[in-house]
Amino acid sequence: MAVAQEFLLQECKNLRDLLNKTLRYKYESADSRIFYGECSARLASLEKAIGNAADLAALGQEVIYLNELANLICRLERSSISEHSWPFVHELKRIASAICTEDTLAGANTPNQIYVLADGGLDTYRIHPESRRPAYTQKRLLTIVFPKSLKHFVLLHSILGHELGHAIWRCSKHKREMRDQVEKHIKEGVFASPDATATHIYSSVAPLNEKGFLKACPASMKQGNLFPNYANWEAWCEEILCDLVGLVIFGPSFVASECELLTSMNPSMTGFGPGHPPTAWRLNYLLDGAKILGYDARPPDAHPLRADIDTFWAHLETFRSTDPWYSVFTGNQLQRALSGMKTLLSRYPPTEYLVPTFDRLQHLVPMLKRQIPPVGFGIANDGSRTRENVDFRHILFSGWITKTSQPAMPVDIINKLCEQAIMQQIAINIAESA
Amino acid sequence: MSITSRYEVDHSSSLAKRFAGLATSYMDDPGAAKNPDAQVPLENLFRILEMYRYDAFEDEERSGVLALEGFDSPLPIVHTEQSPWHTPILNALEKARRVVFPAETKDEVVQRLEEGLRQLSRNGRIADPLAAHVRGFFTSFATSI
Repeated sequence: MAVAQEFLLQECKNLRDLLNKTLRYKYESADSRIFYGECSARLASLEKAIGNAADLAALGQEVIYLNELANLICRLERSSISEHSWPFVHELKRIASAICTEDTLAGANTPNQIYVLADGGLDTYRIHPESRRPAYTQKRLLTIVFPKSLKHFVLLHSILGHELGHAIWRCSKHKREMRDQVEKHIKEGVFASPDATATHIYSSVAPLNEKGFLKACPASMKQGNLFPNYANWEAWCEEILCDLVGLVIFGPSFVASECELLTSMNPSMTGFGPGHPPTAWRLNYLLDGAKILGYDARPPDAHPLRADIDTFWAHLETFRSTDPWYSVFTGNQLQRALSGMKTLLSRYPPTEYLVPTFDRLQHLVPMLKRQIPPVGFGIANDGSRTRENVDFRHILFSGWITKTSQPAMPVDIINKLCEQAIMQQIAINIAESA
Repeated sequence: MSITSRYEVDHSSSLAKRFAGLATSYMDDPGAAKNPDAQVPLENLFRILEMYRYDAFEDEERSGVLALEGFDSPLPIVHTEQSPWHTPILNALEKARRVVFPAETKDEVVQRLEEGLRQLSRNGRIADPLAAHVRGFFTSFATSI
């Protein structure tokens, strides 16, 4: 006991040295202080627990937490601020800090402490909330992971709306409301039960490509054991709700990013995964949801943007699977679920997406087409400068509209201009509030 | 490859018990209660109360929105567990509530206990008569978990 305890106490000292040498730079100074304070509190608490451990079993427990803390410090030390789009992160943090909150000792609605990481490729988009189980933690960390390869591709980053859904689901105060939405609105019809979903998947009217997918799955996978042996039905339900959350947070940009990214990961749009429902179901209900929420509103025929907006939505409709088997929710179901989500998210501004006016889009899209970052700045007829607060999601929407309009503009240029616009808009907002 | 491996065991119950014991000990030691390292056990107890208040103990991990998934695992993806990690904690919370606050609703109990924890963390002490209730609750909780 004494040898192990002595060793672990020495490791605590080593960790304190490591902590003191790290987190010195590359974070905004406020963040650095918070991370340092949090790690120090965790270490002090653990050190005391190790010093007071009554037996070997207790020591064995503490060593796990000590290792986790060492890994956390090393992860935090590898700041990736130059590897992700910090203007987008700035805006995403505003949303996450508004809604991913808890009641804590410090007060009501304490935001989680956000840490951002760039790593890997396409499939790394993730928001990982720290567990709420008892542990040597004080603040809860929320780790947002961006694909390193997509640093400037801010239009695609809209897909993180889905991941925000998971993070919101894991806030104690929102969990009941989120779960109620699933129970009341999602779990009907095809999703009335695991059996009902499996029956639909193995239905004789399922499209041939879907039947082919099932044949390629393990032979032991059958309608009767699909859930829970091969897929997690509750996880599917949560994924669906998180898609709807993403839609209500990012609007049309979320639909566009899911269409592009899901079909790039699964070009045939066939099949499903253990934790995710069929890709084609997801795209269909998102396209339906966008209509229900009025995101697909068109300007009058004579409006200069009418053709561009028509083209954008027509492009998204090409991702719709037309066989009725792919439409798993009724309009009424979606309407109720989306309404429930809007009610929750609207209580935490700026979380909810607000539909821009056509005048706003008419200001942004032509700027982008002239290769000018689309921001809320202009020169009025009398020569005076005008500054407006433009929501970064409207900048992203203008980027998606431009992406499908003519003349075609390279997609990396559109993304960089939108990223610059988000950054410039932050500066404009600061100037406006000064 | 790692130099060793072992089965993961959930330590939530033993930690919750330890944190509850620490909280009652802080009530006799205001200096220790305001110490920065005391915030860890007190915040953990607060978080447990919030999970209790909203029936929000479930915490299954989900993969990322685009995570590649396959069915090639030879094992079923959902394993049979004896009971969820939080069952002993929930049972102990319910028992302590019955013993100390027999006539109050769950929301009322949680609000009072949270107020007590905030006072302890901020002032190093809890005002009477709440102090006796908080002490009684966490003593019962630590004993029965």
